[in-house]
Amino acid sequence: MNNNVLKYILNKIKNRNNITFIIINTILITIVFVCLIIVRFTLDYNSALSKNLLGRTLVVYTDNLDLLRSNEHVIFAGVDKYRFSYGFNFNNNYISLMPLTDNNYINIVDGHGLINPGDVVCPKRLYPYEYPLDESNFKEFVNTKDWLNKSISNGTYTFNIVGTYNNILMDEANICYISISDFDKLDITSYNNNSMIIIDNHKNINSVKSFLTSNNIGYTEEFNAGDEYLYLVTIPPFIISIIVIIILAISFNFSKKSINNNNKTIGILRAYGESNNNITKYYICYHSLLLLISIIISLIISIIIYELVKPYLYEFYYYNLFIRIPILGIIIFTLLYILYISLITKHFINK
Amino acid sequence: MNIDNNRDGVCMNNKIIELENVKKIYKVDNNDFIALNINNISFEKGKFYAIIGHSGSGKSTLLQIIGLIKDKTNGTYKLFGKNVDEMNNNEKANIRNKNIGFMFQDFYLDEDIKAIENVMLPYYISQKKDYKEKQKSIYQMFNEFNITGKELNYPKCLSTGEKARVSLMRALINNPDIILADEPTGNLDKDNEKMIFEKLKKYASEGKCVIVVSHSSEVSEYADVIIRIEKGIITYE
Ligand SMILES: Nc1ncnc2c1ncn2[C@@H]1O[C@H](COP(=O)(O)OP(=O)(O)O)[C@@H](O)[C@H]1O
Ligand SMILES: [Mg+2]
Repeated sequence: MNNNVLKYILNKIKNRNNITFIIINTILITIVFVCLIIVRFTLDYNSALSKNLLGRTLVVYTDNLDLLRSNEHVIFAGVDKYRFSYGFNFNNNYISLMPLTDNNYINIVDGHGLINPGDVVCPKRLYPYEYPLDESNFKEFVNTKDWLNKSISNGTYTFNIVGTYNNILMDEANICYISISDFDKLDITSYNNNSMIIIDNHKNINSVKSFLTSNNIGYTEEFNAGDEYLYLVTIPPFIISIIVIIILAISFNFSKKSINNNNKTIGILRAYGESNNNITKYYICYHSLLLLISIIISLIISIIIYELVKPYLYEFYYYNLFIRIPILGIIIFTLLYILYISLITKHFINK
Repeated sequence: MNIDNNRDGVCMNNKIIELENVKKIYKVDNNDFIALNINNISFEKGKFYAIIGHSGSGKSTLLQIIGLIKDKTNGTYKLFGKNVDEMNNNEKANIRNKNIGFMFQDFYLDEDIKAIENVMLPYYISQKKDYKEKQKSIYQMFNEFNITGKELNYPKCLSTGEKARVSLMRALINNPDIILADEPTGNLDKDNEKMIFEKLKKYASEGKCVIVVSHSSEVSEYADVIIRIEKGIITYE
């Protein structure tokens, strides 16, 4: 390969066919990228559900707690008050106190877990708002390590901070955990007569639901994804597959036409002694560059769309969820696309 | 390297191109069409060959087979004493780049690049590095060919005569041993034609093997050997 020959070939990139290809390709790739962002979102959403306690909390319409506890996957059953937090301001941070209904839930990083009455475990990071609304808020946090062995109080209740837990792993915000018996001492008046259960693992939720159904017990999910979620899960992969097929066909045709249009250039290169291998490489670069241009424009457009849509998704879905750019998906898509165009370019040059 | 050794060792009588029973057969509507059928012919260093014949008689085909642009269908072709059947594609490409200079019918210049870039292209392909030096020598060459000042013109801003010269310069840039010209003076006026033939003659006298396909009767004034082809067959030499 020689830079000057490459320059000579890349010099021919500004032509009508190429620009049409870039425009069409950009539109299609943007759709793929937006769908990938949604797929990424649903995956994150699902994984957050399986990590966070809310994802395995059910409200059940019965007071037969013994029956509920008889299910092997139910690790906690109680009146329906343990899923509501008790909140107050402390040091300008909004803190929610919650009962620790699953002892295995929290992952202590400093200090130790709940031992004595009055103990509290705080998140490793406290955010200035109750809910970190987007990633920028995630960056401004208070490191609670310095708070260890101090106490938090709202005047009425005082708790000793004995440990911090890793809230990032679990997609938790400003939730401090206290024991169930301490929680019972708090003055929480407004709760109804329903019960609630905590299930050991998110993947067992369906088995518990069928247990409830078979016992004629009604339930609602604490955190219900709703029908929209189902659309988000099923439609984007479907759109991606259709668009990918269209992209494959369009790129195939484009490469064929492009090599035909460059017949003379290729003829000149051959006649003056460029090897077929090198000619193939030059044209792979040429076509890959066209792809990269479309991919970069698509990426910019999809990031803009993503920024516009993000606030709505935050409101709509789980408060504590990042919505991320699916970088890995985009890289894999790009590499596979370049591989594909390289193979067809090679095919048409050797024809 | 190989080729250089062969040139001095095997080709003692200066024969650098040897064709034996070479045929080129095209499949046209499932029938074989013999475009070229050559018993025996060879070309030497230092001579000017003119190939003449009617349109469609196989002149370009012969030149392109010699120039390793087309493959023969059967027969033996020895170039610098080496059988081309034993060369792989890269070796052939390398020979096209370093040992053969082709001047095409209608010049075949790239319209998108400047005259000087057209001339430089075979040099770039050769992957040699001293481009700056080479460019200087090309400016000299433009001078020698009487088209100083046209270096940065695009081909569409060149007259036919100028295009012919650029095309010849491109064929010569890597200092090849063999110069193949397919109707180089097809559309030229007498003066330009004369200039091209004189240049080619000069290279032959410097020891190159020059083979020119031409319709023009003038070519016989310059040629050392005239080869006539009719329907793919050499009728006299
Ligand atoms: N690719 C091809 N397929 C079929 N026939 C061809 C092809 N190329 C050349 N021919 C035929 O071979 C004959 C010789 O062609 P060519 O060498 O170009 O003739 P010339 O240069 O003497 O005019 C012509 O009859 C031409 O039609
Ligand atoms: Mg011809």
